[in-house]
Amino acid sequence: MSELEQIPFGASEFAENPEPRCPCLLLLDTSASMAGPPIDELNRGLAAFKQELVADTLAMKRVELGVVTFGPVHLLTDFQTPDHFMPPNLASAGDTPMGAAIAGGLEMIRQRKQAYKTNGISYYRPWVFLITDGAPTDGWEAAAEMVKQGEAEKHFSFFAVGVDGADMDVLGKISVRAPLKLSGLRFSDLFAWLSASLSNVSRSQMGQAVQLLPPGWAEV
Amino acid sequence: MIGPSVLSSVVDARGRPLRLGRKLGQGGEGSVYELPAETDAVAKIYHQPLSKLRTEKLHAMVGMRTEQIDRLTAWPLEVLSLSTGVPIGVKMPRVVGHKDIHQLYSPKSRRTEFRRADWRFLVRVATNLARAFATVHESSTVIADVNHGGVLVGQDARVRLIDCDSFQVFDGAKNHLCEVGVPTFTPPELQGLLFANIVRTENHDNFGLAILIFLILFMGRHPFAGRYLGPGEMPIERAVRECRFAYGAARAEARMEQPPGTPALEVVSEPVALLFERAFARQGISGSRPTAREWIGALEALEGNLKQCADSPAHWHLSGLPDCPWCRMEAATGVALFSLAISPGAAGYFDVETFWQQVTALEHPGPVPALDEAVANARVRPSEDVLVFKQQYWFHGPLALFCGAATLALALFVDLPLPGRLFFFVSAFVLYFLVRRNLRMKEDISIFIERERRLRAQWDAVRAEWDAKAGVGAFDAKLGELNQLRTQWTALPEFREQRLRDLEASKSERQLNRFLDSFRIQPGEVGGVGTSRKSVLESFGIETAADVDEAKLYRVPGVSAKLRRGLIGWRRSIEGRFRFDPDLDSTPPDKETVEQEVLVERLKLEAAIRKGFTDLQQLQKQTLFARTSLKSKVEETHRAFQQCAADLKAVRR
Ligand SMILES: Nc1ncnc2c1ncn2[C@@H]1O[C@H](COP(=O)(O)OP(=O)(O)OP(=O)(O)O)[C@@H](O)[C@H]1O
Ligand SMILES: [Mg+2]
Repeated sequence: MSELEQIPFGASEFAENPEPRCPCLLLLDTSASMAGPPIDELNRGLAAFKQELVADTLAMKRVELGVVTFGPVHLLTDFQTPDHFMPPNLASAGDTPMGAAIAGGLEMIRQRKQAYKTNGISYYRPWVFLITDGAPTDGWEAAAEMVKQGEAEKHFSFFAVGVDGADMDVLGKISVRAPLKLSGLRFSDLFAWLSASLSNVSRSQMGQAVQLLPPGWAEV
Repeated sequence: MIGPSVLSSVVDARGRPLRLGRKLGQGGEGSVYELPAETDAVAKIYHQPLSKLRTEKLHAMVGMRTEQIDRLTAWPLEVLSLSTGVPIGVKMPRVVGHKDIHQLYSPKSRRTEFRRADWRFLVRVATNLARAFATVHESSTVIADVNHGGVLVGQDARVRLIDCDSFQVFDGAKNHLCEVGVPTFTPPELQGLLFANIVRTENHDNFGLAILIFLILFMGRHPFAGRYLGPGEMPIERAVRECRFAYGAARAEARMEQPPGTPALEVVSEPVALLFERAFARQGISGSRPTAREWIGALEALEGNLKQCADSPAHWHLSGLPDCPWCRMEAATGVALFSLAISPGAAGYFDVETFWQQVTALEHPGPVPALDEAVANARVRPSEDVLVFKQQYWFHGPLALFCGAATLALALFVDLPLPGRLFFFVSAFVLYFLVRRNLRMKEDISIFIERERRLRAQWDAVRAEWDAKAGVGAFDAKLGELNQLRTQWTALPEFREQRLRDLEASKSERQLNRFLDSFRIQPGEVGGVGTSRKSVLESFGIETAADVDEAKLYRVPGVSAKLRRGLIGWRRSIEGRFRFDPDLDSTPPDKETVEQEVLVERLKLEAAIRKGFTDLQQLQKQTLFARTSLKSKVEETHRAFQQCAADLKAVRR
C-alpha cells in the first residue's frame, strides 16, 4: 500500500470489521392504511429487532440492515451493522409505491455487493423482506420481473409478508416464494424470528442454502 | 428438536438427575448450559438425540482424557442421557473468563473486549494456538472442524479449544470420525465433499490452523478474501478450492489483489510469510503444510523480534520495517486497530488529513436536477372528459346563434326606420353573447375546477418532496458540520496552548487558593465557632479558609453578621501572610487535567467526525436514491396536473 493509493469508500468500516457480511433489506409499507396500531407495532418490532441482533456478538458484526419505506418511497438507511442502526419512529402517509421501493432496494443491494467486492469482503446471499398491508399503487410488473431474475441468478432471496388487508395475489406474483400472511399484528414475533434466522445465517456457511426456522408468526 | 420438558429429565452418567441452569450459548448442534450444582462444568445438550456412532465416540473420548489435554481443551467428562436412557449430551469443563476468538481478531470488538491486546499479544495468541494444536495432534487426535467458534481466548493470551466432541479421535483400535466442517477453514482438497466418511489428517488441520493464525495477525482478514480481477463471483470457498491466496507471491497469476488498506505479507517476517505460502499453496495438498510445531518456532522468533513504534506505544511491529504498518493502516482508514486504553494520547491512529481523503472521495450528489428536465412541458390535448362534457351541452352554441340570428333577421327583413334597424342590429350581437354567457353559466364545470385544484396541490406537494429529498440541503449542511469539526480538530494544539496559558495566568490565584486551603476552621480559633457550628459550616461545604466567602456564608442559616465578619477577617489575615512564588511551576496534577481535557476533546471530535462521515454517506445514498425512485412519481403527477389544467382551459373556452 503506498501513500498515494486511493482509499475506496467504506474502507474504514471494513478495516475495523472485516467479517463476512450478511445483508438484509427491509422494504416496509408505511402507507396511510398502516396508520394506528399496525405502524406502532411495526416500530416496536423494529426496536426489539435491533436489541436482539446487538445481543449476538457475531450477528452484530455480520448482519447489515438496509431499510426502504414506501408511502412515499424513502431510503431510511443504507446497509449498516445493527450497532449503527437507529430504530426509526415511522409514520404512515401516502399511497403504496411498492414497485418503486422494490426497484430502488434491489439497486441498493447491487451497489452494496460492489462495495464488498472492492474491499475484499465476502458475503452471504442477501435477504429482502417486503412487508405490506395493501396492494401496489404503482406499476409493479417490472419489479416482479427483477425479483424473478434476481432469484433465478441467486443474487438474493426475496420474502413477502402480507399484513391483514394485503393483496396476497399480487404478492404471490411479485415473490417467487409463496408470500406469508402475518397473523394479527405479531410484528414483534416476526422480527424476533428474523433476528434469530439472521443469527443462524451469520453462523452458517456461505453459499449454502439456509434452513429457515418455522415462522410461528404466520397464518397457516 | 429437544423441548423444555425434555431438558428437565437429563441424567448424568450414573443416572442421577442433573439440573440445568442458564443457557450459555448455542451452536449448530446443541446448546450449552450452566450447572447450578457445579461451577466448573457445563452441559451441552444436543438438538437431536445422539446417534450410536456419536455416543460411542463420546464414551471413547471420556476414557482418553489426559491432564495435558484437559488444560488446553474442554474435553468431555461424561455422557449425559435422558431419563429414558437415550444419550442426549455431554458434560465438560467450564471455560471461564475466555471470549470467542473472533472478538479478538476483529479490530472493532478487540478495542472493547481485549483492551490490553497489542500486536505482541496477538502474536502470542497465535503461538499459543499453535501449541494447543500441537498438543492435540501429538495425542493422535485431529481437530477436524477447525473454525472461529471453536477457540476461546483469555485476557492472558492463553487459548482453550472447545467443541471437542467434533474432534476426530483414535482410541487405539478405531478412528471416530467428524461429520462436519466450516468451508472457510476447509482445505482445497476437501472443499465441497461430505465429511461423514472422510478420515481427516493433521495436514487438513494445518490448513485451518494457518487460516486462524492469518486472521489473528492480519486484523481479521481472511487470506482468501481479496479483490478478484477476473469475471464473475469469487466467494471464499471457490478461492480456497482454486488456491487463490490474495496476499501470496503468486497472487497476480491467481488474478487476486489484496484488499485495499491491508498490510503486505512481509510484515509478519520472512519465515512466517513463507509458512503462509506453504500452507496455502497447491503443493500443500500432498501433505507439506507447516505443522503446528513449525508455527511455534517461527512465531516465537517473530515475537522476539518486535519493536515498539515511536509514534504510538500501542503499535508493535517487526523491527527492520521501513515504517510502522499499523500507523499506516490506521491513518489510511481512520480506524483504531487496538484499544485506545493502551495508548490514549498516541499520535498516529487518527489523522484528519488522511481521513479527509475519504470525505473528499465521497461523491457530492450534485445539484438537484431541475424539474423541467424531468417533466417536458408538452402541449396537452384536452381529454375525453372534455369531449363528453361538451357533447352534453352541444345545443348551447346553436341556441345562442339562433337567438342572435333571429334578431338580426328582424333588423334585416322587417321594414323599420333606420334607428330601429340599428337597434335590432346591435341587439342581435348583444343577445347572442348574453345567451351564450347565460347558458355557459348553467354549465357545471365545478368538477374540472375541483380536479385542477386537487392536482395543483398534489403537484406542489411532490415538488416540495423532490426539493427536500432530491436536493442537497441536508448533505451540504452535514458537510459543513464536518468541516467545522475538522477545523476544531486541527485547532486542538492551539486549544491546548490556550488552556495551558490559562493555567499559567491563574497561577497566583491557584497558589493562594492552595495556601488558604491548608487552613482548616478549628473550633475556638475563630471567635464564635464551636464544634456544632463547625459541623453546620462543613455541611455547607465551608471547611477551610479557601471556602470562606461572603456569598457562601449568607446561605448558611444561623450565621450572624458578627460571625460573618469574624470569619472573613480570619481569611484576610491568612491572605496577608501569602507570598506568591512565580518560580513554583504549575503542579503536575493541574497540567495533567489539561492534557486529559484535551484528550477527551480530541476523542470526542474524532468520534464525531467518524459518525458525521457515516451520516454523510447515508445522506448521499438517500439523495441519489430519491432522485431515481421519485422520478416516475414526479413525471406522473406533473402529467396529470397538466392534463387537468388543459381540460379546465378547454371547458372554459
Ligand atoms: N466448555 C465451555 N465453557 C463455556 N462456554 C462454552 C463451552 N462450550 C461451549 N460454550 C459456549 O456455547 C457455545 C456453543 O458451543 P459449541 O460451539 O460447542 O456448540 P455446537 O452446537 O457444537 O456449535 P457448532 O455448530 O459450531 O459445532 C459456544 O459458542 C460457547 O459460547
Ligand atoms: Mg460442534
